[in-house]
Amino acid sequence: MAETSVATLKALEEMREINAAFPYTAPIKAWKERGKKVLAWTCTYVPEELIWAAGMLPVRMTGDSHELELEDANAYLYINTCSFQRSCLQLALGNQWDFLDGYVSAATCDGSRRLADVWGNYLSIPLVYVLTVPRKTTERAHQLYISEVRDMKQKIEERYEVQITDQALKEAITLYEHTRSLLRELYEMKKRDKPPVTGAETMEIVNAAFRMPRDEYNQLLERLLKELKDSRRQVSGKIRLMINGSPLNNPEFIKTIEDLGGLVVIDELCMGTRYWWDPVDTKTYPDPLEAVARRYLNNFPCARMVPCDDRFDKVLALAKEYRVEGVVSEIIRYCVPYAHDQPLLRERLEKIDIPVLELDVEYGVTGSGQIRTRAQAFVEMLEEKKLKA
Amino acid sequence: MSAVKALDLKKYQGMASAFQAIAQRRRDQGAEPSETLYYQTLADYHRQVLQAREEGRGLVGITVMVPPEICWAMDIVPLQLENALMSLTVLERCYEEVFSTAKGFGLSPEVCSAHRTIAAVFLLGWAPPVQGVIWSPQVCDNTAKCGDLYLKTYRIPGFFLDRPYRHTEREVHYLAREMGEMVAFLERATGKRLDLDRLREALDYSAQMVALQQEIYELRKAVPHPASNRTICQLLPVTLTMAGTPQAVEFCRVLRDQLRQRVREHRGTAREESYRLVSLFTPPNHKWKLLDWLEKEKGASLVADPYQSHWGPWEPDFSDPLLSLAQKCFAIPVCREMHGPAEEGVIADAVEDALSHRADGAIFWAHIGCRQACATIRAVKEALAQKAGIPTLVLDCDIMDPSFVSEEEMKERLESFLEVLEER
Repeated sequence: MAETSVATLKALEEMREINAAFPYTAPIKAWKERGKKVLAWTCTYVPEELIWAAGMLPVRMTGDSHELELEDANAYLYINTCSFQRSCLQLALGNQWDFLDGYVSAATCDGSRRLADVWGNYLSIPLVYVLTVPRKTTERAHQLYISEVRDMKQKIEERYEVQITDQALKEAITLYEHTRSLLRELYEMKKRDKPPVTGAETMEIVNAAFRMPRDEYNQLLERLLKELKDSRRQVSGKIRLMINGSPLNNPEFIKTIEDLGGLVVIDELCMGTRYWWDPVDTKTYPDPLEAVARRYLNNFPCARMVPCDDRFDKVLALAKEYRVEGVVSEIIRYCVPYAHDQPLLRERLEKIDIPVLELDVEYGVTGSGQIRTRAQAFVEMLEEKKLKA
Repeated sequence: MSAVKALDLKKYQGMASAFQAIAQRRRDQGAEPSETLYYQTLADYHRQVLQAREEGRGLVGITVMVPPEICWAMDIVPLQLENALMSLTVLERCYEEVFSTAKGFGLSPEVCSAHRTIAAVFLLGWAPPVQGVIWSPQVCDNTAKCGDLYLKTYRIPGFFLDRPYRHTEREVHYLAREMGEMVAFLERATGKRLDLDRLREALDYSAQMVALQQEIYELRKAVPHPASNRTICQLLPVTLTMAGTPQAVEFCRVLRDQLRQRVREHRGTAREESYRLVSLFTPPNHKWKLLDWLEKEKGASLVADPYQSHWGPWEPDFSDPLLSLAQKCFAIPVCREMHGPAEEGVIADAVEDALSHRADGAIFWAHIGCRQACATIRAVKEALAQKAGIPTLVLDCDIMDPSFVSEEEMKERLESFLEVLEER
């Protein structure tokens, strides 16, 4: 990635500072100091708006943005549980999630529900709740999911003696929709020949969303967008790349690829586009809870969903929209949903002449050693292909 | 898809013949009636699979725990993919070709070997020409994610039977309605129609089979243990493929009678029963001889196996057969252990079985491809130690890949564990 005109972004620096203190970031500390509660959520199928509407701070449960020693977690979860789940647990066993007042998980994959089992068994926390999430998006599945979300609401109300009113939920929807529209604005800029931010920076920006109160985040993001517009910042790379696959929130990993000449202009990650992509449709569904539930089940699908072509179609559409020249698929070892999809997705991408680099990784890994070598060879191959074209 | 080879049923035919030959050999050797009947039942089943289309019957692939009763009731032979295609690989000894095909296609080695096996058999064109596939998340992410590949490989239609996480009335009803849609899919894919009376009949057979299995579970509390280690592993394949048929009932009846007789006569199967063990998860499919060795040479009986024999409460309602089958999916072993919160499933069942069957120890077959089962190891082990006072051996293995760990290594670890039990 060659940086052609790079101004320092004050808002981005603030986000970096917040991220650096993960998991107990300064804004979370300030929130707790006001006597308010914090609930972790673990998967993009858990509707954050409900937690916010309960007057609590939803924070995303992740591991750290670098590879951890997982010895403690390995003692509770077998080594064939993916390292994303084990990293989350490792932090918990090291008391780093002690500030949580509850944890809402989802039965979205084997790792996710088994992590919740272990959390419930061994860690002291007022609430561990596992949300049932269908794997289809049929009307029947929506009806089930709406009921399950209603149960989640009730559980939160009972456990914390709060009321989640329709009004509060509507306000939460407005707040979170604003985030989505701001992130869309940011991602729109990434369609340019020379976007204003790198892929690594984009990841830092999205990471901050998980680690601070949403109203404060929106203000910061608004400032960032203004700075981007004012500064006419531009970054360029030799090759336009998409990164996709298992949970990834390590900017260093992307930076390694970008340092080799690639520019990650789009992602298909649950810590990227899949987090914010689809809006809540309050016009068709006036009941705010139903509107939220429908949005979460209909959102850009994770590989857990069936049929796989729904996800593939969206990945291909993104690749076209962002003029992607190559895809880097990172699959965490034992992340089975993505491992099953990968050969079929690769075939579809290659059919439209988009080469794919597949990387089996552990969660939090930086792009050193073999990964760097393979990424370098991939970028060089794409450059050569471009020259020949 | 470019990778698919032409249809070639020689391996499948070879497997069917192998089952027939084993049945004959058992008969000639004067083996226990259930032992002969098991292999004969499977030989007949695979013949039905091979002849289904010629005989005007339907033929559909189903993944583990999709209720076969519905298929049998519609005159559709359900090809139970995990069971049939793993047996094919074991009996035809084609591990290398199978795993290298899966790898060549791009399936990572972390995908469960059972599902890499099925994928490879489809890619190689060795799976019979099914008219459709029904797959389901009844057990794990692998069962949820495996289906798309089969559909694309054989260019056939499919139906995903969505099973929710928790055992609540709402979720059972959801699954029942999914099954209604599964029937509609089967009608479209095969041209067969569901006759509700035939479904009730299949449900009745299923209920008889479950009642017999519950009797078998009770009989296994006896000291000495009346069933051989191998026999107990034979229950699940019959349940998965033949539930809803008189053949499944017959197999369970013969086995129940055999155990009753042994209990009456205070006869065990181990020469001298020295150890009573709980078997957790599934012993390697390619190494059932290890179970014979445990029993015959070490006097170790597998007296309980929650993943294969611990049924939850289930009372069929013949006025609503689909709802009954949905309820069965929440009561059936494997699903009980693999789905839902561990505290309510595998942990509780393992402790109950260890106590009721007077176990001295437990073996957790830690299949490297099974994230669902292995993630509970610590909790199960601790619960067994604290509540049942028994130790657990965690034995690393692979359900399908014999190269993962050698037989000698497994035997060494088992022997060391038995020594620990001896000292206790």
